[in-house]
Amino acid sequence: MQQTAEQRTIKFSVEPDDIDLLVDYSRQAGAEKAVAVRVLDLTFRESKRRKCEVPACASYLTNLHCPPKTPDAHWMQSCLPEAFEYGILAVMYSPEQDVVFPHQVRGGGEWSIKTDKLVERIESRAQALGYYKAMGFTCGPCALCGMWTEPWIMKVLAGEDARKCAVLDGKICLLHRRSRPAAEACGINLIDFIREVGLAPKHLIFPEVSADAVPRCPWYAFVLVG
Amino acid sequence: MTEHRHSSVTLTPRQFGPERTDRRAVHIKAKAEQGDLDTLAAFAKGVGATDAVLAPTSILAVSEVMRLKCQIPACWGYNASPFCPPRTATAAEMKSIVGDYTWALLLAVPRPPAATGSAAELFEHSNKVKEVVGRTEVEAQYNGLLDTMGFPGGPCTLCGMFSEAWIGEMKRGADVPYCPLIERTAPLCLHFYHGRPAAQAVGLDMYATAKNAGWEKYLTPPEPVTEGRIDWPCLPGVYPVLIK
Repeated sequence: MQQTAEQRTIKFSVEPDDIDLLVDYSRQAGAEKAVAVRVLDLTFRESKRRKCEVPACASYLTNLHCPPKTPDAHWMQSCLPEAFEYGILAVMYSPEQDVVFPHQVRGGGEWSIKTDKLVERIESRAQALGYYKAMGFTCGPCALCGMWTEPWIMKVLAGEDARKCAVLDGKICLLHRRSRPAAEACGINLIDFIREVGLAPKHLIFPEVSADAVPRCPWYAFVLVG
Repeated sequence: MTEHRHSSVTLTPRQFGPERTDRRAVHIKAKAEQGDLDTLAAFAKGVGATDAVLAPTSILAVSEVMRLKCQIPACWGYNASPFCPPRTATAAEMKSIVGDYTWALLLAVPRPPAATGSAAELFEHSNKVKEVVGRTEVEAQYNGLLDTMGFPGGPCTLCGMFSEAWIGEMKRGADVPYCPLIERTAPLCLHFYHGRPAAQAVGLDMYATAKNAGWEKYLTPPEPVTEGRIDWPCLPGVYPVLIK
């Protein structure tokens, strides 16, 4: 339900009930699992961000929300813990066949967009509760405008003129406010944190891996609240 | 191949402020006197601020996260406006800048409820904020306070970007003209001395600052993104003018 500006409040510290509410809301919004984490428990590693570069991922330098355009780990470590108290970590699982060759191009893009939408809903809910700084992070590169779809990749491979990220050219993205970087692209060491809490291990998925070995692949939505 | 229709929209410069008038020459002052500050607060109310209060600059909250909110998720102004990140001062730079100033004149220009409804209303409100903050800053300079700095809200709209016609064409996918300085289609911006970054774009957390001043009543929270309406989160309702 839409709130008017007058109905909305602004909160300057976190109310514990709101965190429980956001965890519940994350499940309603499509997450299979959702937990609250303390931002002070997070670690920041530039090595995580640099893994986007060494070796360079296909989306490196192609959009606003992939390195080197993203803020680095030192920057994030200097500003996030003082601004946020909690993070809502929500996980969705895709079928394994969606993320291994030859379907990972289409499936990966689709699940990345699903994760974007989950992040957007949780972040919006936090904003509606009064947390004006709420900031969400997704998985994978920005694919909202049609980059990383099968037709787009076919165009690129054929050497045809394909869509490029408008923001990098100093233009406006019509999907502004819907696109966010991955936590790792900003040096937030979410993967190790998830492994430590035993929430949902991330597998290395190669084309040779059978569907039985890795039945499902986790997709993380992470929203900071403070 | 992606086809783009060339837009017939041209950038129509916005006019801010009154006609130019001759002013008396004044000596540059190193520090403001109490009389200057009171006069300036009254001036701000006279040009459209709902309220104006003077506070030490220690009241200002500075956080890199606020500037990061221009990027995550990306606002329309990000990298498209010369006074939006990534071209603006960082919070660390801003902390150093704030340290050079003694006073923050906080101006309340609350967002009218209707301004959250359409892009045109939002931009009209943003222009009003720029005019109130800009004129107050310039008035301080006319009175000898040369280093005064004002920080309004919203991306730069001086050349006509973000007009209703411009947005309509941009949304239809036409090739619209952007900032001539960024596109390098003009040797200079003809609105020099008028462009200013938003407070949020330089890391000033005006929500927390307004709370420190007991001014929560003037704040407007940002639109949740799923509501589907255009919004600039850098229009909180309270804006600073820094004075030495």
